[in-house]
Amino acid sequence: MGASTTRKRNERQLRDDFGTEFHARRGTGEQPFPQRLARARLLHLRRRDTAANWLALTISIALYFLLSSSPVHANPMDGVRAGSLLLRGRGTEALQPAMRVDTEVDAQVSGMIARVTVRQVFRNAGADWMDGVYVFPLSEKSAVDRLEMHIGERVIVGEIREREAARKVFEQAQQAGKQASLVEQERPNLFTTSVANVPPGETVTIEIGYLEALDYDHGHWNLRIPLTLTPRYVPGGSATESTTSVERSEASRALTGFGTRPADADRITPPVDQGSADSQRVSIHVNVDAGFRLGSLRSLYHAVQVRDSQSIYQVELVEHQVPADRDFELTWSPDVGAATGAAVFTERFGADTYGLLMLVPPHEERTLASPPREVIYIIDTSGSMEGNSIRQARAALQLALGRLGSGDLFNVIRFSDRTETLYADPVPASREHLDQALEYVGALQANGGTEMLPALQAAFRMRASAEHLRQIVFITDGAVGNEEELFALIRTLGAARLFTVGIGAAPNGHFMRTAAAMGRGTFTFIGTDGDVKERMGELFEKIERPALTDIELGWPNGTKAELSASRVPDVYYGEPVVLTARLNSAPRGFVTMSGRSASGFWMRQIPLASARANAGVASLWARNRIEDLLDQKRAGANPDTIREQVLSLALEHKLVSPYTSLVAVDRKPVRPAGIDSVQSAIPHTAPAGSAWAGVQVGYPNTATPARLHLLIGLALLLAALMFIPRSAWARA
Amino acid sequence: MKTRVLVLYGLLAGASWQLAHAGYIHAKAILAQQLLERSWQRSLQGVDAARPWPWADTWPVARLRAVRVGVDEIVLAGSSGRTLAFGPAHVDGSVLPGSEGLSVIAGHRDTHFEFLRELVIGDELQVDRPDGSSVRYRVSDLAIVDTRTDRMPLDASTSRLELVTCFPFDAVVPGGPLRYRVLAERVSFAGHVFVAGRRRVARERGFESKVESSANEVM
Repeated sequence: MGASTTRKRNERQLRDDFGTEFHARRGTGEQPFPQRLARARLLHLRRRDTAANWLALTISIALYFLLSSSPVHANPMDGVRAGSLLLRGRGTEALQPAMRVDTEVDAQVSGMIARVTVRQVFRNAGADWMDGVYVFPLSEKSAVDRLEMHIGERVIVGEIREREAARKVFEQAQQAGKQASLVEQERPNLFTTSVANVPPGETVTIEIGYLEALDYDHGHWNLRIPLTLTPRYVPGGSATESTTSVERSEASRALTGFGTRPADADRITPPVDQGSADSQRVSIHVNVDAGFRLGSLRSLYHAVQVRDSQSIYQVELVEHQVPADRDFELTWSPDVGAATGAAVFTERFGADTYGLLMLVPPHEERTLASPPREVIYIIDTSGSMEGNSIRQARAALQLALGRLGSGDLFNVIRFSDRTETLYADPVPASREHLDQALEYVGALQANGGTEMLPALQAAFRMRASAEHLRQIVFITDGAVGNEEELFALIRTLGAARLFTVGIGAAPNGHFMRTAAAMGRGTFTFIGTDGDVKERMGELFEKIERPALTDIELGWPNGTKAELSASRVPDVYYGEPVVLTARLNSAPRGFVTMSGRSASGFWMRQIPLASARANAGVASLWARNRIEDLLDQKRAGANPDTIREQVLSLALEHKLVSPYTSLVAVDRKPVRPAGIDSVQSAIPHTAPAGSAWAGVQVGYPNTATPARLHLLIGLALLLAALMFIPRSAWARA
Repeated sequence: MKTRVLVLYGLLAGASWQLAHAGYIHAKAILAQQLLERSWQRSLQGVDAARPWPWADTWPVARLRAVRVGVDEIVLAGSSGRTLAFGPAHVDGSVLPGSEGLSVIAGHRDTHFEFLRELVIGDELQVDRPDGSSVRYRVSDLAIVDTRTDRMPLDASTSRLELVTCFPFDAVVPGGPLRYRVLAERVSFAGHVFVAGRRRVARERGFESKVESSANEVM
């Protein structure tokens, strides 16, 4: 009994997170010095001493601040900046100068499709033959379908091959001393170019071509060309100089992981370039032919000059070349009167016709645009949410409650190892209920384990209202152990929508994404807990105004259409519906799109005959189809069947995919036998971070304040010593 | 006069509180590892997510050993601040230690992961998994990253282990933006194109047999 009480108390103490705050606790009564001594000192006080003592106290405090603000003492790591490459061990002296890559980007916008050519000029300034691996980002929606290698006047066109086969071809060429290049997809938005046998003092130019369907949002078209491995350039933020151990590690992974290079690649991985200014430069040229006169055309992060001739706009950088330290983003909107409503583009490819269909749902007044909703918020209050995560989740949830309309219903469920619902069933968002809920949410504390199933079950059991669109917002940071059980439950969701929000780390990114897709909602991933409030705010703003739900398509008789996505997602305010389809016959008649909007049933017919021919539609369809197939694989479909389907699509449409690569090989060997080429991973100028497939996690805090406490303690002791008068010492 | 006594008492109380707190952090770090040993044993016996105490929001996921520097620690699930007080913690979202992919383990620079500063390239790390198998890694890279700009690339497709702790090791005030990162590659990862290169390196270094035997062990 006694032992267990002690243990409980210890645990309670253990559970107190150590923060930088200093908790006032009991223990102030403890006196390591006998009272007698203090009294003696009291009697012998002198005015002079007091002044000296205060001085001593001031010095001690100053000492503390001094100590705490100087971060390191004689550490060999001093002077090493973030992202520096530290190489120890054998052979580190023999670092080779890296090859340098300049990039030229040329984008042709036609209607809603951009055809982008990325020209990478590999310059070998050294005296050795070189091979290089260059990691670079592309838009995550890109369909990469073209590779050309320019050597002097000659052009070698790349071929699409199965990934392993392409690699083998490349490696053989490399060993044979032939010039070769290989483009591989590492992530949907991350690619590598490998080049072999670049002669000393010469250049090889690699041209990579891709297609992209442009984004349309709130009346604006948007073209983004990622140039860095950062998620996004933040206007006004400083482009930091710290470069990237992440990308270097990516480069070294590219070197080691796939076998083109010897496994001792770390030895030859060059230091990351920190002088961002002149190592890597990029020039950009965009040609916008939107098909209508533009009302505005704007580059968000770069100064550009625009020439306009007959509604075709030439965009160029004011400074011809800029450091590749931020993404390029261009947005434009049509002139008044030319608002985009619907558009159809088609392309014939092989025996089939491919269609790209875009439709902007009717704009409705903001007040009208919210259909009545029934929102159930499920929030994880397990122990791991403690600290910033729960604080921000609370704030975000309170924000969300404040946004509910008077016609909406809501409920709040919290769960840790047990589930608790605020109301038995969803209640109207009246003032009184909201006040209760705000108070409830404000008092949420993080504690205990993570049991999700009962929480979801509770939400599903609640009485549903027929007139309301049910939305379930599921906020968690925890691990999912029983995916299948949860999926089985989510399949019974019916008409409700499920929005998943992963905070902090996403242990279950796959689960959350799949669950959201099954629930026709979205997955919001919040990698660093500092972003919780902002990202959740965006989510709530979006989901409170679904413009069109339950979208269905009707094709004319005799036309069979295969959509690239298996299910048409809901469309939110300001977004268009964009679909790609493969049709078995030439487009005739009308396609009918219907759905549920705020003001009731909505339907629209789009004449297929008005379709404009546009090259690239077929590739975009194939690319979307591949993405959908890969999603299915993630959702548990048989990987072998998926692989087969993706492979045949990618080969047919010449697309780079996880299973296919583009490879170009020159005919004749150029590197003399007996001379080896040197491997080089090409550094980035990027301000670090990375743009991998959306999975990003911030680093946890990994320092305790123990040392701080120790120093403060010692400083205080020192200060206390000053208060003991000389006479006391003498007596002792 | 009276003030003076009060100041003295205040200072002494403050000092003992601060020193006790510092000691408490270290004691917690050491004691928790002892407690965890028991739940690790239960994990080895097949108990899934064996919580060290009933209301814990974490459980052992692996055991990390760095033989050269004499470190043997139990790794917990989930790198929340509270978990990190008890032991090095596996960062959610990365794969579990020993699995294919990038696995990230974070630890406090002044307790469990103080040893990171002693690691050098080439050091061997061993990860024991709850199923009883173990996997070896070799340190391949040491770097400093900036949390303001860097993110962990969690979906790397080779098998690597990343150990992360705060940097600089000797900084007094916690919460700085820098992290020290130790990257280790799996020894004898059975990637088809990969193995040839590894073997060659191994031969050069003269421990081919070791590499091969651990390959068998892993497979």
